[in-house]
Amino acid sequence: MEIFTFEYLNLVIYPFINPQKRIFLGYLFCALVFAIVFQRFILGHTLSQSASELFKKSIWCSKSARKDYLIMIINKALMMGVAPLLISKILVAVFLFETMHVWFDGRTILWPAVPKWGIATVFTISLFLLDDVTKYLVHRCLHRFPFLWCFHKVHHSAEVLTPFTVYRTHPVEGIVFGLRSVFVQAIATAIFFYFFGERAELTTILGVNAGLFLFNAAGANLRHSHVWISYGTLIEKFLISPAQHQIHHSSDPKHHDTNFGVVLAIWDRMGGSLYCADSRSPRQFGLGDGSGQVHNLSTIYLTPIMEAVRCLFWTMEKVMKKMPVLNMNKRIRHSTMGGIVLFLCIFGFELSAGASELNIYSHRQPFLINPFIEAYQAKTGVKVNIVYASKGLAQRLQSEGERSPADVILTVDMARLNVYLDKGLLAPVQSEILLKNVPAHLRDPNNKWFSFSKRARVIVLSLKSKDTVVIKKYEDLIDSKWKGRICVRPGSHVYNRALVASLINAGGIEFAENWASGLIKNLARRPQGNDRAQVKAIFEGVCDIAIINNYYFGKLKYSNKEEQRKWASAVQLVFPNQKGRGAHINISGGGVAKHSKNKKEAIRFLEFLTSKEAQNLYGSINFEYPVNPNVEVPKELLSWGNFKEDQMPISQIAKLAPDAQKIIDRVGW
Amino acid sequence: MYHTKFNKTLAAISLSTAFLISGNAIAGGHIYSGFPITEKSYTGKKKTSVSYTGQIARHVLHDSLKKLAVSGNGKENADLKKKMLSYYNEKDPGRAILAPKTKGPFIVKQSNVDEISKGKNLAGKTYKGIITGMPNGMTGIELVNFWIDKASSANKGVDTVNGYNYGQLISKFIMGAISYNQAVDNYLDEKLSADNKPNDKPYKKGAAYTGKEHSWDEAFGYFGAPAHTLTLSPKNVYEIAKQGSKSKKPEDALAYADYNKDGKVDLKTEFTFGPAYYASGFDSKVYDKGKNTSYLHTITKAFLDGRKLLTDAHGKKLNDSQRKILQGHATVIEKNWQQVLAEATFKYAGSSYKDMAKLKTIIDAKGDTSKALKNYIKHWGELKGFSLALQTGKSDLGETAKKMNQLIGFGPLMPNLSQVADIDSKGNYVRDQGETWGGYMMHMLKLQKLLIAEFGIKARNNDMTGKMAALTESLGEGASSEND
Repeated sequence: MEIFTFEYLNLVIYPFINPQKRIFLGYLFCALVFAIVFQRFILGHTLSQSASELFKKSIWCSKSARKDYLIMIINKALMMGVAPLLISKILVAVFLFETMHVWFDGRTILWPAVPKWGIATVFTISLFLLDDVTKYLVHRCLHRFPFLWCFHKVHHSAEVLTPFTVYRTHPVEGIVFGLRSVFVQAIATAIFFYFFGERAELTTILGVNAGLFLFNAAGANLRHSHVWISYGTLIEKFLISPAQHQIHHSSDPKHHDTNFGVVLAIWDRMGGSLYCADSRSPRQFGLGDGSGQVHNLSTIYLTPIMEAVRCLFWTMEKVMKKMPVLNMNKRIRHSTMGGIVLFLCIFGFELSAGASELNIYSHRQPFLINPFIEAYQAKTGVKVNIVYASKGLAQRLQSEGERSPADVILTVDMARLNVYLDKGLLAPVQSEILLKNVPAHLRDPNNKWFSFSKRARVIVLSLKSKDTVVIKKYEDLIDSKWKGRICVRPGSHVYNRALVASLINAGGIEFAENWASGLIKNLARRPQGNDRAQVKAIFEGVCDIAIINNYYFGKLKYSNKEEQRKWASAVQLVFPNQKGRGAHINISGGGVAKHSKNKKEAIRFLEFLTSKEAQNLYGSINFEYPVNPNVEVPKELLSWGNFKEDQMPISQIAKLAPDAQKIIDRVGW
Repeated sequence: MYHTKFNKTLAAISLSTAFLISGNAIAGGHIYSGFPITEKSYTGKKKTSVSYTGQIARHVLHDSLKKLAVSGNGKENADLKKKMLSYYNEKDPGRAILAPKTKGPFIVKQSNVDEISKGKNLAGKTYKGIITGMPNGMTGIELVNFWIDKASSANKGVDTVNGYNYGQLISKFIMGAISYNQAVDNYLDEKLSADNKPNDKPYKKGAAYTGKEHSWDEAFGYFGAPAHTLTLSPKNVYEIAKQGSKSKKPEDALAYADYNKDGKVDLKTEFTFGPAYYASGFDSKVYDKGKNTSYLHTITKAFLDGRKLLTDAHGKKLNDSQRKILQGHATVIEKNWQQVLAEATFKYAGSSYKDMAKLKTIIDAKGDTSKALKNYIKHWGELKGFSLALQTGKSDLGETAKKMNQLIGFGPLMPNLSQVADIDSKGNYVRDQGETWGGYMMHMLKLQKLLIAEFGIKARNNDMTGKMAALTESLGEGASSEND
């Protein structure tokens, strides 16, 4: 209790001794000096006249002012409890700072030659402007939205103005302003620290933002006072004078909703709410209801909450009235039926799942593999569990050893399949069906892995660039006339490494290296992003030519994002080397885990993946080509053009991958 | 003029005398040496029961191995590999001390490992668990052997294609996998149990020390602090490790190290090795203006207090209360040592981040990245080495280790956006397209956050978000209850 009292007293005294606070004794003294000087030299008052004017009992001891003092004391206690619950500005700043690394793909320090004081000045000014404009906007919202006005009108209920009126605030409004400050400070520091590093520093006077210090020291406390100081029309278009803020507090309807700004008047000018000071002060401050009820503590603290709740209800009522009326009986009927069907499905599935179980470790994303699993479950009643991870599954399988629950491994690309093969994680499979359904060049010579779908590495051309239609094969891409016009993802990606391996297979190491080196010379930008990003780059005009896997084109073409459909519509596909060895293809594939406890079921699942039903799914779900020669290529894929594929044994890609990687490193891809 | 000079000289002499007197007075109870023999069965001529030369020999083997790791010429070199293995796997006699060696006025007393201790190797004391932060489930010994193989054929120990600095990887990893692991997971853990190496029996037959005394000494030896650490400031201890290169005058380091004033630095008792070097670095803020820490003196004092307790037991079996106090000291050592490793991981996560920002700036300006890339690879090696070292302690770090390994990856993200994803059965690195540059930079930031949350580290050198947080904090509180 003693600690609480001590902390509380500290909190009450703190604003008087903290230069960050408006009622810091130094600022109050400055305001007093300003008022005296103004009255002495502009109005011609004597010192005693000024004193009696400035310390008028009817103001400082009025019912309204007394309530200001009380509210300040009560709010301090309330904020002691609320402040720790507000979101931390450091948390927000760190989150923003981190996220900016993704937005800008890294961090480049700007203007390294600019000295610390230069950045500090820019930072201080920026923070000051951001602070001021957001205060204006929040203040305007407090007046604009009835829900917020319920709380803000507590401040406007003051009928006399003293510097302590600044604390006449409903706690909810205190929270709103607190959050504003959190976000402003977090945004400013995150941005400046991100771009300028440790040179971002606040220029301060007595530890306070220099701009804010000057504002407060220049008599800011007179804004809440009866001392009518106008700067004159010209200055008041740029700076809010005490008189302008007093107008903001006026009960005269013609003054309502004007002068929301704190320091600068430019925001009010932009927003059409600027009101320059008249020759005389407003007759009356406050809400103008004259009942005196506004100073009851219950009116100050509870009434705004009740009004705000009522306001919310009205709003909800309005929205609901505009909503279409539903036939509830029909809806209930549908829900009941749906529930029964769902129950039957789950119950029925559980019954059938009891028969057998299969565990799959998959690198393929769940949305791609789930339709196969659903079809398999429906057909066999086998319960299938799936573990998905884009990386680390081989390590996991390796560390699990004989205890591993995995039965089936599914992955994409020969290089990734080879990781499992190389680590001895796959079991040999005896299956006539697989041998029949998967051509020899698309399976492991020792039958440890099998391909289930094919994907062609194609060239895409911008529809806008007519001259590129001459490109018919990979080798064409190294012609110097395409300099600065090609986009491609990093060379170490398995898709590109496999392509280079196919070129080694076609013409040897020197041939492949010449090609890779020529390609790099023609790039429009550093290799980056995924295959989709290359199509996007063509759409944005960064380049005219790119290399991608064919199915990305389909994914973009049928994307539910309009933006992506636009990217696809900007390009056409070219299946390369049709008059020669054919287009390079890669595969998705899989095998049976070496320590599978259910090998029979695992083989049955692999066989299913090569069946007509599953092979069709590859085309319809992910625009991939079937490996089973007895399955027709889906119509959509055929519409992009039939193609001849490079018949090199796909296992050869894995063998040549180390050489391909060396080429990629040597040419700096 | 003359008068002023005289006064200054007099003042200097007075100060030095006062320091020496007070230094000697403090030294009386602050040196980790000279503890008497309490083992009743001992019949030899030794005067003290303190002995940790085997650990010092291993520090020297480690320093020498690091030196060898950076001496390759980029081609396969069987001789170099053999030499490295002789320092790591073998117990060959006559191995020269390659580091630390005499440097200017800093004269090192020993030049051969055998002068410190004979028949020692590093492999026998390397962490035997699986290193989950690298592919293929290698044990600590297998991993060091793998790196030795790679280092022997790398150019000055650096692989600029895959992004590995083997000198740093080997050195930092060993600092955990041998020194930290042996100290906190063996000597200060298993060997502190009641029946393991009891205090009323010799450590081994005919030894001048009891089981507990020697266990404790060996742990101290692995920490690598000079025996007179508590008479020195952390900065002095740091300067000793730097052999004068970071001192105002090179001879200052000798003066700090040479406790017995024989003009030479005895590696057995007077030098600063790895773990103590990092502890002293954080405490003396030589790397960065971090917050105040006292890892070096806290750990050394806990060692000293524990040793005093053992001496006071006069060769009798420790009772429960004595053992509890001793375990308390061991806990202090373990926690602080772990924090030192976490601080180092944190520091190098920050360095790697900074290097990445620098590289991005250079790449965007189409400049020459070679120097910045080398720094990045070096710092990443230190980061990876320390992060793996941190995982070789007494307790399994579980999810924290998993997160740490995921954030760091098997290799650094290279400027061509490739990253080592695996090691094949022939020992070749397999790479793939890695994270985005910004994404990997964010990993470094997240790693720093993770280390703060899990290890409560304080010095926080190269704290990237911390500096921004300090800037945010400096803006003061917002006007939450003020209104206009």
